[in-house]
Amino acid sequence: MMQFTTKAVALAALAVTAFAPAPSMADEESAGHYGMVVFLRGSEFFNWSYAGFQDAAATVGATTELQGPADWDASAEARAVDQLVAKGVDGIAVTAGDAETLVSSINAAMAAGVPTLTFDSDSPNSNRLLFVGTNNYNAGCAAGRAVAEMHGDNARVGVSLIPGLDSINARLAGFTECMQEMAPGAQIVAEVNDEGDLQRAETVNTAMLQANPEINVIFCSHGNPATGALAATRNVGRFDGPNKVDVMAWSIDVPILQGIEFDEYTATVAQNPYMMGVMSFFMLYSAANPTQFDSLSNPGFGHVPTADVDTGVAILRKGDPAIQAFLSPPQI
Amino acid sequence: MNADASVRHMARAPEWTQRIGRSREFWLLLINAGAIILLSALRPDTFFSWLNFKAVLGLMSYDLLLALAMTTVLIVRGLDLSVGSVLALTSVVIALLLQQGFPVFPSVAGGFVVAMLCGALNGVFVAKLGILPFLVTLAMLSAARGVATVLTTGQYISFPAAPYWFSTFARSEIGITVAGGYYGIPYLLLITLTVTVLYGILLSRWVPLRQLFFVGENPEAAKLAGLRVDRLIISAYLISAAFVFLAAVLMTSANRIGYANYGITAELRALAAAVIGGASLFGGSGSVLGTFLAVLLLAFIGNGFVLLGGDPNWQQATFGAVLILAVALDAIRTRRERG
Repeated sequence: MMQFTTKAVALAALAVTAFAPAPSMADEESAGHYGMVVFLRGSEFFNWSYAGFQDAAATVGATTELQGPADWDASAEARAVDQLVAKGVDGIAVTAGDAETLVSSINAAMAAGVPTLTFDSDSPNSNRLLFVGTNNYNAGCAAGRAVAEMHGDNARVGVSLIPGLDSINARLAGFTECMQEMAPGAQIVAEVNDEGDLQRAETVNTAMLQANPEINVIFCSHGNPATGALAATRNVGRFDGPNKVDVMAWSIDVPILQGIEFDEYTATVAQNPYMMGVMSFFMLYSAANPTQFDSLSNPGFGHVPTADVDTGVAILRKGDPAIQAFLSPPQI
Repeated sequence: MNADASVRHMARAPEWTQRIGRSREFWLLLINAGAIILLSALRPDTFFSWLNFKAVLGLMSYDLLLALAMTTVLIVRGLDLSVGSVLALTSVVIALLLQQGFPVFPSVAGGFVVAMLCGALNGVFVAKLGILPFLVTLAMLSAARGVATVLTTGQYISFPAAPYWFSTFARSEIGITVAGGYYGIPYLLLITLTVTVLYGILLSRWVPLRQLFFVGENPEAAKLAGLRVDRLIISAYLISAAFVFLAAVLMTSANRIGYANYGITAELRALAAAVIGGASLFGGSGSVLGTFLAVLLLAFIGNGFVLLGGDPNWQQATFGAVLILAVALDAIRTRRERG
């Protein structure tokens, strides 16, 4: 029986191989070549994104390349987009280091017939096909629900934020609404401006905890304040024990992930950069390979959603296998 | 005291009182006392506690060190907008070396070399090439932050394999028992205060450092008097870099990470504190005690802002208003003093 099964599988495999189109060089070329442009090239976050982009391209036999500066220089990103267009790539996924700086290059790429989308950081005033990344409202909502699950109506939350940023406002709106939907008694007690600085985060969160001793959760609404918020709980003697203040981070940086495993941080809001890469590729591939009907929103291109694609977040707690995965980022 | 001495003493008393009245440190002390009284009255339960004072004093340590750095260059008519960025770069270098498995002292020495190199470049470009300090240090601000970002790709640099003592010493405390109560004083605060006091004494008593004031007051006259003005200006930038280095070591130890975004906008806080404390943008003046009291005042303002439930949207605007007021008062004072 075993021998029969093995033979059947081998024959089936042979048949599939014989009739399936072989991935010849010509086919690889026809599947196309796609570019990804990032700032902070070499960072773990964008290495994840590019790994997703590469892996997705491999499934259809397409090839990829990664371009962009190792710092925040958005103008270098713009030049990288221009160069990819000149090279004749079939599609470009770019994360905008600065929304406005990328507008003209993205528009020029689209005008040249190269499907271009943004991922992770958007350039909404450009003519990009769509944005692939985290929906900030939904991500905040996930964090709010997690807090409601942990503390119920007793949740008393202090928020560390940078005022005036649309992304953070959306996260906070989602957090508040979803937390109170699940636990109507839960409250946001105080908000402090950490100015995006780790040290300021410690200072203002320490004062916030002293002024509002009822706070039992600090929600870090962006990537920077988590270590400062944790230090603040230490400063007021609420790092552990029955009065421990739970710190919910917004980061997949290694020290934060290790801190979760050591019971320092309670949880973190983890975006999915790998999925951003995967979805970016498939959107570009679809746009670069039109079917019998053109895209309604971008005539000449294949179909892609007109709405942005939300790649979602996960709330990582101690023991989550995703933590170990994030601790071993791909090497590009 | 005989009759003559008594008469002399009475004659001196008004002058002594006038001098105190003119002393910026005296007024800063009074304003600080006023802030303490006001905040104690408004938030007696939280403000007037050792826990809060320890947090305020401990967390102002970095700002104090950077403000001393700024004070030193302001004395020689300089300016250093790169203090926050060099802090970040130094921290990143130390953390990367520790992460690569280097022992603590070579790693810290690596950070020291980087900080000193930045200070030397600032000083040489200002003193030897005559480029405006604003331009030189603005360029250094950008370059140092840029290099730190490239080295780290914007990520935290942790060093879990580094010796435990280095990862904990800045937050460790010396305990003192007073009247049955236990008071923990962080090493971070002790080191900063010790350095501040020593520097205060040296700046007011030690001739080579006193010469910085002559250079700032009138560089041409200082040159004619035989002072090596260029060397003194470069020295001021090196001293500034040394304070930045110390802040970087303490911050790296306290947070157990190196980070390219350390010290963002720290140069503005340092400048505000130095100017409020008596350093002039026109050079020739500056006081360690004044700078300390100004940093303390800004820390109380920040602490009080949060304790009183201030709107986070207004936090930076409030700080900016204090800075504008300080600079305006400094300009008025300098014009009056120099006619």
